[in-house]
Amino acid sequence: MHLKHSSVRILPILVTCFYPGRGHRIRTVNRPQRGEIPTYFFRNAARLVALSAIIFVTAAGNVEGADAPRVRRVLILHSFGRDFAPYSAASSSFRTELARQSVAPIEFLEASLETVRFAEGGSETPFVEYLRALFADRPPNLLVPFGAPAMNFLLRHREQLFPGVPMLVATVDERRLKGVNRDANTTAVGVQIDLPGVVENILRLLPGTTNIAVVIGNSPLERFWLKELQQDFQPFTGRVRFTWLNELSFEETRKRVATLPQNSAILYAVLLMDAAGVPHEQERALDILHAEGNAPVFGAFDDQLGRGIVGGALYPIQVVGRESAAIADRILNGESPSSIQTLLLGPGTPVYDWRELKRWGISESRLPPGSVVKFRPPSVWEQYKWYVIGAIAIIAIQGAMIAALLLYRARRRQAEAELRESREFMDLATKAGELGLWVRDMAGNEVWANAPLRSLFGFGENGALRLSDLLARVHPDDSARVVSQVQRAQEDGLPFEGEFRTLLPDGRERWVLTKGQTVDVPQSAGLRRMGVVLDITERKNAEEALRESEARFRVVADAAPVMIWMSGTDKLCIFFNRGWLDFTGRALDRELGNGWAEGVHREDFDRCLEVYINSFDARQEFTMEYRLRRWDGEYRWILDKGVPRFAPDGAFLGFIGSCIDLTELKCGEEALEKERAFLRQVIDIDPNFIFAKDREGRFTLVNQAVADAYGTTVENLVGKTDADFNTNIEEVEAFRRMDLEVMDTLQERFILEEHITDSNGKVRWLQTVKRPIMGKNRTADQVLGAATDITQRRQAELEAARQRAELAHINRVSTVGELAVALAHELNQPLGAILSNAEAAEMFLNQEPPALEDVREILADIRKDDQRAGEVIQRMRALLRKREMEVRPLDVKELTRDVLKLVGADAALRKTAISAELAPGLPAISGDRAQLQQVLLNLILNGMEAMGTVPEGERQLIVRTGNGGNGTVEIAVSDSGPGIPADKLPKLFEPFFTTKKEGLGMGLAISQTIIEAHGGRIRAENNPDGGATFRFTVPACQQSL
Amino acid sequence: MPAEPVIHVVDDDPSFLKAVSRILKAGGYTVKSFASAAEFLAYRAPDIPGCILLDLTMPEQTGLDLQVKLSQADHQLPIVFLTGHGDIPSTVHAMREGAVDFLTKPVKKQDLFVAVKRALARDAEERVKRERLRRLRVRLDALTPREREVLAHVVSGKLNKQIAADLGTTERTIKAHRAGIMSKLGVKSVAELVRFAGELGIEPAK
Repeated sequence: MHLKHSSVRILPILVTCFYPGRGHRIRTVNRPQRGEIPTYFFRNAARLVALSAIIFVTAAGNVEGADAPRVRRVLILHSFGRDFAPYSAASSSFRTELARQSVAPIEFLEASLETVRFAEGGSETPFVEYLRALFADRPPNLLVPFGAPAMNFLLRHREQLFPGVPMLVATVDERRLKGVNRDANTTAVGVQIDLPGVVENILRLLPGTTNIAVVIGNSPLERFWLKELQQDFQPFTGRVRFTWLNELSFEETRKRVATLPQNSAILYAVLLMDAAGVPHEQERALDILHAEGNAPVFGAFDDQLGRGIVGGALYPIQVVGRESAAIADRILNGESPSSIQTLLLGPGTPVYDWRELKRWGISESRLPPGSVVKFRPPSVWEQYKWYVIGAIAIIAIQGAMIAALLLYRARRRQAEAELRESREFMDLATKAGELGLWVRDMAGNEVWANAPLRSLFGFGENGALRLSDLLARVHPDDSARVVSQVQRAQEDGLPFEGEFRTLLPDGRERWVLTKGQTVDVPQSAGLRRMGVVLDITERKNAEEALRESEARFRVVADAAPVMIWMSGTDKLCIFFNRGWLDFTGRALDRELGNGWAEGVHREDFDRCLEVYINSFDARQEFTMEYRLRRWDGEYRWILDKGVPRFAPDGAFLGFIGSCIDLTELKCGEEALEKERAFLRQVIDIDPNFIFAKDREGRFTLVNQAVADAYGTTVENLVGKTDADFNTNIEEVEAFRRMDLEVMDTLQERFILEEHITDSNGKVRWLQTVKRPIMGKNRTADQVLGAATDITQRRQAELEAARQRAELAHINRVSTVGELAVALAHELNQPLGAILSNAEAAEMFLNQEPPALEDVREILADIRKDDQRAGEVIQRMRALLRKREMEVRPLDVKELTRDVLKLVGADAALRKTAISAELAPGLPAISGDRAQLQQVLLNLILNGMEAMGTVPEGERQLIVRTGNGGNGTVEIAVSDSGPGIPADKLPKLFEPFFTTKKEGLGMGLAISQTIIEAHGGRIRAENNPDGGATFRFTVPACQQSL
Repeated sequence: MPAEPVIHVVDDDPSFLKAVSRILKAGGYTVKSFASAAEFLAYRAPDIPGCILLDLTMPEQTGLDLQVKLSQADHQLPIVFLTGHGDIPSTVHAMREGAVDFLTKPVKKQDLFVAVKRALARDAEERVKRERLRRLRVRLDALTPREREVLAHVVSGKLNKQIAADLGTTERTIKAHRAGIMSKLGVKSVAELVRFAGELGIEPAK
């Protein structure tokens, strides 16, 4: 199950717990507090990771006692991994929805059948075994495979792994369900994918399409779909050519889609693993296709909308998740799967991405009736509402005017009276609208103007007016433009429309809007031009002010070191500052509306939207965290704070928000969280007992091992005491005493052996370390303990101790020198004979009368044997001298350390503390490593033996190295034994001299021979403060090491 | 009156062999010495009390080899090992094979005599035991097959009635058999009978 491409995916099983009413947050309680865990856990941690591919993200909610509903365990088996689209969207909504619906707490266990991506024929056995081991004790209550491979896997192994556990198959296409031999204990929520419909959609939108490039991967599942697609697309063969990209690596695919011929479309079918064997998680591939492809991209699932696909009748993948959750809840509540019919979901209402339609020039009229267009930016109306209202007002007034003119013309022939009336009516109309009216002959220059117009241009109520008079009042800055426009309009007989400023003699400036057109008035013999003029100064000023304030706002916003956005009352975003745009690296127009949401991480999207919409509707401030894609493609954690905007009159205008990049902070938090979870796993995986207790004896931390021993759970144990679980009062009291002692004395204690009675009444032997945890004021308020179960070890130890003693002996015998061993027998013969003879002689002498003849004979034999022994010694010495020494430069430190390592076990057995004082910077010595080691070993073993009578705590042996003078290095071995009687000192190195009951008396003699052969000296002396020291020198080496 | 015990000393070192034999003789023992394992095997010891003082390391056949051979030949004399240089595996091996003691050369007089005394005591004990068993066996042989069958049932602690039922006969007959068994074996109580059966390794009937 090991994956090499992603470090996150070393978790083949994720466990998350959801408890009703606690939201979706993963809770971990009773985490070790920071600072409580000794550093060696960290060291072990690395090793654990290396050993184990399993990590439980345990999320133990605190289920209190018996009244909490029993946790339901749901095993989600992914076909490819948790993050593979389109399954990811379905499983994600499944989890969320089930957690929301279920009354009982749900524990989600997630495993991934990653292997199916790689090979169909690969061995499933390890994974099967893994699942078996994992669920042996507590089988899940429901199996939910996502995708066909997971379903097939469970169908194969379910009887054996999870007999009797109901199964809900999710996100599997109808045709994959067909071959499934469904039993009573299974139901399914699937989709009915209409493949031809996908192509029809493309051809409907883009009838000119001649080529469809199908992006599909090359995993076994994708090969299945490839076949299905090829078969179902058969009917289109004459109309359109299909290019199958299944045999390309994704890199090649990218190149291919960027250079498609004209009239192409890209169909993003499914990409789990490309032909190069590279798996593709999430929808990154889609993003790239969208960004780099030169043709519109089509897809099949609704979660792809907004990520670059044009749209169509999409398959509601999240609905599948939701529906599955509803059915899962029913099954978990005891309903039999057999009574639940397989639910097959077809495509939803056609839905399209407005941006894609625009990008590829697809008219909305081509969309099927009833289609929904999403991601539409705010409409023209919304953007220019006030302009439009203004314009409509003008047009309405103009219309009224024209209507009035028409009326006037119609009635003029009939009655002068009516004319006056009409005039008055018109005056009224124009006055009401402060509308200036003018009429002029095409021939003449004279202009008739009504009072508002005269006033607008600063003319008196009466007096003739000419066009030039009016034009003269146009602001010099606008004059040239207006004059030429007026002329052109007149020449062409076209309507004229324009905005310009007037400059009145008193220096006042006004903004006016004018419209003019040519009107045929037969009675007046010829064409006239007439028009309206409207004072728009206030509007213009307001606009200017707005522009200025906006510009100011923009300057401030752009200069601000945060990301700022603003939305209108319709929830759509109308502004993003430079900081935002720089961050996302996208143009403003792509972000406007809902475009920004494309950058939000899929996993955060729903939550993000929910918070936004809820807060928006409630007009409440909100703060949320989500991941937003930065310009470089990296998702960064963003803290977004939004506040409602209100106009001075209290009208709601929308929201404004600012964001900061939290990633560094968040990463820290996440790392901490991970570290905590990790430590929890580390201590739980440890078979040793790990615990902490407070002064009242209550557990503040325990690992799984302790909980197991007491037959309870970690959660249940925390806050309780030993007495709550242990029936052995003496034990409990002993624990308590020691705990308090550690806390009171602030001293770490090592308890070599103690015992604990577990929940089965079994006595377990423990070796325990207890350490105070410092609290305030240099006092300890907790004690941290780690105990190793040594029950078995203890039994083994008795046996091992015996073996060690044997080994040590053999070791000794063989290392003191093979020579001595070989000669021992030979020496013992004459010695044995001498002893027996001598003792026999004594007996003969004690007879009455003494058997002198016998004694004489004996003495002759003794002499013979003594001679024989002497010869043995001579031979040995000769042999030692003859033996070729391998003289090399040796590091004294290394030599000493090697020997100390050899005797370590022996020393522990003899309860002797050995220490070394090795002088730094000593020169190398030249000698035979093996022989010098023998000497040192012999001296150390002698020293240890000499201390046999000394009380255990006082057996100390020190090995010192130092300068021996005259170009030699000295090694000394000091013991704390009884020392050497003064009269024995001179004889120590003689053969057969021994102070030991069972000694041969050859060790020191051999040592002396060796040292002298090296050109060194060996001697012994008693220490002034007791014990003896043996020291020898070896000449230093001329050359360095 | 049993014959005087003989100490058999086997050692390839003539000097040591001589010295040890000498001191044992001085201690009042009858000693017979052998220079090799082969020599001892060739000497067919009569069945008289005694023990063997055996050197461990000898050329050709070692002391351990000889011990194994003797035990296979059902030779009953206790063995005391003597060695110039004993290592743990051979000590363990020797003791497991039933050696009485394991002495290291040079051996002190006192240690030697203690070991020899113990070996002789062991020998005497074994002889008594063997003799008793032999006699018991002779008596057991006198039982009829039916009586043996009844004996097995009696030893298993069954009442006469049960035995009668098991063997398809009457209680009276069983009583008669029992009386016959007791008298032939020369025991007076059931407790004695059970001990007797235990010593001879008679399996109680099921």
